Amino acid sequence: MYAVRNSSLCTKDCLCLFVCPTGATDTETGQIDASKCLDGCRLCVDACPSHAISLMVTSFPERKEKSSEVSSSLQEVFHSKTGQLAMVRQQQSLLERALYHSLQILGEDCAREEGFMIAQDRKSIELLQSLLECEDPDLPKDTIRELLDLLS
Amino acid sequence: MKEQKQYGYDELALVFSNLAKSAEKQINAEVSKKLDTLSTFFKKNSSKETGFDIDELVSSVSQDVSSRYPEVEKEGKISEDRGALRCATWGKKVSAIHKSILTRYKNQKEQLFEGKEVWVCEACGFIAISPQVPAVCPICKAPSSRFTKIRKEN
Repeated sequence: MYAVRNSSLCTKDCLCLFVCPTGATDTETGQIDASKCLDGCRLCVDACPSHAISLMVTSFPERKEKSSEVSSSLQEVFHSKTGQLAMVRQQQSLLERALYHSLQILGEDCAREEGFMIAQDRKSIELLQSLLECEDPDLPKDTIRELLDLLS
Repeated sequence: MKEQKQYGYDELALVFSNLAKSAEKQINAEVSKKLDTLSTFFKKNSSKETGFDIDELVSSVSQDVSSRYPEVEKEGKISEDRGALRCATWGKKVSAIHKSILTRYKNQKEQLFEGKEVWVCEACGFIAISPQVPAVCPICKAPSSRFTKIRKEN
């Protein structure tokens, strides 16, 4: 496990710099240097007065398989929400803009519960792999390959 | 290949924007950016293009509230799938709010927003029409910092 800093919570009190035994928390990028971070050390996590630092695992647990009934009921909602999104896509008024933003969140929630919670999930990886066989010539397949490399 | 049968570009756009958000929460900017690139591609190349028809929208949202989300609730309970239940509980409430806003908009038009701001909860999608940002989301209890103010112009 390595430490990560949420820069929108960080109040630059620098307690993490004082306690870090390797200097991993002191960088010019605003982020903690994972290569110097000691596995599970958490001194900076506990020292931070703003709770801006947390520990991130390097390998994630296998997600429980969804029942096919739950999955298909979620897909019904998912399709319905993308249909509604298409109706407000032009975002010509404040109402349409608000609905567009909100419907995206509802659709994303269906995707998450369908099994695409994080990119490291097996379903996400399989989806990326299957997209490499997609025949759309404009699909940015280099990006997909780079992602598969980063996630492996 | 199974997923491609189930999902069109509109769904894929949201699958990848969701994954981009979760990569951002893992503070993984490199992965998040690439996932965003894919989401943008699917969004841009989406085939669906229907205009804004308020009655059609109300009808579709009503069906989500009365049957599609309850179906997820029913199956979620049977399978003891708390995640699906959570999604259905929030989604049904947010959709009921959509229906209410759309119905009021039909009568009041832009007056609905007079002296008010529009806020969307980033965690559950709840839309608030009020002068100030809600202190806490009434649906998912996210704090005010999770609300985004929707601008009047693009």
